[in-house]
Amino acid sequence: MALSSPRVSESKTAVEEKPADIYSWLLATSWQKLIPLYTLIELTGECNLNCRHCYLTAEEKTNKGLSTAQWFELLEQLYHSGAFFLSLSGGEIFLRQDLFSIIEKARELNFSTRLFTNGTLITRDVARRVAETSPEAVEVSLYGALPETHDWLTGVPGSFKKTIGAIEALVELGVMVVIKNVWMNINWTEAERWLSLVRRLGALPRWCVNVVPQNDGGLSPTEFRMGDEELAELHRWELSVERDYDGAEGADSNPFCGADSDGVTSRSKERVLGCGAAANNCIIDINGEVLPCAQIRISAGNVTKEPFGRIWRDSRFLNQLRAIRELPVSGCVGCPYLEQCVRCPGLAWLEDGGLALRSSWACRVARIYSEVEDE
Amino acid sequence: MSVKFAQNPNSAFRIIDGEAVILVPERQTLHRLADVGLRVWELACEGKAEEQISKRIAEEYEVEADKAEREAKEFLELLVKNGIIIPQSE
Repeated sequence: MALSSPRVSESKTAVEEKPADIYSWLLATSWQKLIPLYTLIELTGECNLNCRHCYLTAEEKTNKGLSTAQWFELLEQLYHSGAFFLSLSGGEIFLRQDLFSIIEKARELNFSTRLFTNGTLITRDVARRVAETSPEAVEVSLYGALPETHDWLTGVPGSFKKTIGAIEALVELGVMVVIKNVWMNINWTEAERWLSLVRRLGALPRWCVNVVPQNDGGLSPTEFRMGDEELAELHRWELSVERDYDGAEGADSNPFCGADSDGVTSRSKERVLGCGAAANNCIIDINGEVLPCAQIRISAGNVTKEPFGRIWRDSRFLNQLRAIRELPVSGCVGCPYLEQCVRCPGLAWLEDGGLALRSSWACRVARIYSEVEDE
Repeated sequence: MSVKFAQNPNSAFRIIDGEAVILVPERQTLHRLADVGLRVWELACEGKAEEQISKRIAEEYEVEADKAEREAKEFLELLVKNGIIIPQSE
């Protein structure tokens, strides 16, 4: 092929192609080729905080996770399966003594890494080590604008201060920091101040209102869900923020969930699986179980017993999910609130008894948001 | 003296469906390279010098040497400008 052929022009153009176009191509291709593009690994269940709304069970919180050698082997397997965007989650990942070995191994394999953390163990020295590994982003949880709110929710006095210190250190070193929050009946009134704080810290905000049940279906975290009036008030604020804010992130914009078959990041809520679960997303949990997503805690196989690639391709469960994903959800088709719907099939499974069912929580939020938008 | 190159050590990449997807975290940019562009990038990441790269491109794609040299140079500059590769000092 001649260098002056149209393909060369394509190659050249592609360097400066719009990121959204590349993402669209990437999502569509990974979907078609069944590539686990977005993979999240749960390195440990242990955590130094004791968040009241945590979805981990007491048993999971004592689980130290797989060994270094097992994670190394898994990273090799994920690499060969085409996984690219790798999120490292916990528990609190910085409790693992071998964390940097695992990150460095991931970087050697040219993964793009995202670190999920509460930040409290990130000193200036640790932040420097993090920066040296060139993560795509560090995602830090901050549950309020006031120390007393955040510390009450985390159950650890002083955690707010440490988390803020970590964010400042990371931002100063040029690391992209995403500050995440779940709006609850405890903290939602701090939304405006929280967003100002995030902006002042030089980070990107991301939030949602989905307080999820525990991994075993325990409903205690859902006590912190906002009431109808609170949701309405928060959404009025969100709408004003959307008008003012030109940031890349914002409400309910978790890139991990939104990989659609058309390469579009909005979810098709009337389908059983309108997200990327089992298509180009998966999770490997603390025990090595391969899960379609963080909410659907049904194992497709265990990587300590068989290779990841075989589980990902051949698991009967994952293939069943893939087969039903386009089916309509009974009761969702024709719903007047679809536009505002944040239906998560995993949440429908955990709370409402089935992946193919309506999510009562999503129905409630969508109805309230729609009413606010009609005001 | 012809400049040598290397992959930006901060970058992450995957070859997906025969194309390279490259993330440059410090710029939060994502790039996609195919075909000749992909080959130029691969050779640059192998630490080849500009001269060697254009020579290989001329051979592999059967184009005239001066055309290969000109276009490879231009493309390498674009890769450097976008932080995808970095020039190596001797």
